[in-house]
Amino acid sequence: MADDEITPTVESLWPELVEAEERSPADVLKEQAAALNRQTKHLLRARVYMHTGLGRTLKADFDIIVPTLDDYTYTLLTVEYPVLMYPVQVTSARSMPKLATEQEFKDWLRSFFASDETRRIVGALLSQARRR
Amino acid sequence: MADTTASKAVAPTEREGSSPSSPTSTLNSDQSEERRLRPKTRFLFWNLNRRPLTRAVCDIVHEHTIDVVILAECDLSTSNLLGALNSNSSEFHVPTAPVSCFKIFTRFRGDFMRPRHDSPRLAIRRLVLPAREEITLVVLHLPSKLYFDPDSQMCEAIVAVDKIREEETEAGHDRTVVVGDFNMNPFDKGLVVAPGFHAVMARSIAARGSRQIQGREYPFFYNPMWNLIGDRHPAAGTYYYERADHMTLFWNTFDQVLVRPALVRGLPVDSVRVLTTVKGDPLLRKGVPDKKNFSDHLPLVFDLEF
Repeated sequence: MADDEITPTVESLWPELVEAEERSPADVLKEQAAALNRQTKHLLRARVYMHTGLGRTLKADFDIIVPTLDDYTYTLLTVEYPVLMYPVQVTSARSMPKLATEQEFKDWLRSFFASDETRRIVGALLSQARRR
Repeated sequence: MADTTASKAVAPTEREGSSPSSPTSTLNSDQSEERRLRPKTRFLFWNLNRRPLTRAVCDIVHEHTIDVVILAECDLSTSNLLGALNSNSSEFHVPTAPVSCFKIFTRFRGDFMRPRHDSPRLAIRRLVLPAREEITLVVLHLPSKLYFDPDSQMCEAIVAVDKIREEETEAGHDRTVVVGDFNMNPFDKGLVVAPGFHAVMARSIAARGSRQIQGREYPFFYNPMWNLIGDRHPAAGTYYYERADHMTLFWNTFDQVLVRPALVRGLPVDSVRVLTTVKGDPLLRKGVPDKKNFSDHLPLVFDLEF
């Protein structure tokens, strides 16, 4: 008998399970990675690289890869969050905010991507990508 | 970024004991032969603490014939510093670095140092010099104890090592040298634990290559900085910090160089030194780093044969 078959005599003690409404920070970043790829017409390739943090946290790096520079990578920011997903601790070159919800995280990302520092970095990577 | 001189395509090779034409030394014939085949490259790492130290950097570079200059917390303009380094010659170049928080200058063509990865705290480069084995150069500046507790610092070390191992897999070799401001001492968790740098004080231990724990393989680093701690040296460390609490080391050795076992023989113990003067001027004042006139960190110089 397969594990997922329940005999009439076994009572499931699980309540009705509902997926969380919020998306994880990694999923939000994956969407933004895809958006950057489209916007740069794949001259830059962004990826979300997952690894484990301290204790029961998840960590994800938002990497920008330049395929024409022998796959040179630049880590733009790192997020670390618990199983419950929020609050998320963000680490970038100039700030380390802690954001309590998905919306707060997206709002911060919008301003971070539009910042002079990020535009300078992405611009430099694009410029070098085009030269090859 | 200018390739200022087309003629300087040759890596630095002519150092004492390394020239193929040097006279027979007192070393036995095997060591002598090996030294003739392995040129030395001299590295400088200095955390400038955002101070305008162009003159001091240039003086050190020329006094010690530095081949690779690596600067952290450097707000100096790259072009101005390059101009200063090349004030009497055109030897120095700026390797390609799409985005980097470190400033690196080389006494060889910049395209011999290939960028592989950058992040706010880590830079990875492949150093491919003519007729020399490729090595991986990692430069880092890990978070400060002011903001991270020891466990968090250990976690950052583990993340950095994961990145290094990823690069070693891609490179297909483990000829790796790591240099920078670790913001940890050689005995701190992040330097010692197996998933961290796993950096040992003895060459004989590092020579084992790696160690297995719970079925997982953890390669060693060799840490020569253990030899530079304490009163045998002009400075007992590389960074001085004193505060009024119970646990104060006063001198710390935050600025370190580590090598994988494959490069241990190319890093003689006496080739690693912490500088306390520049052209006769002391970098210390009242026995501690003179952060008013120089930096709160002392410069680290080492020779690597490869």
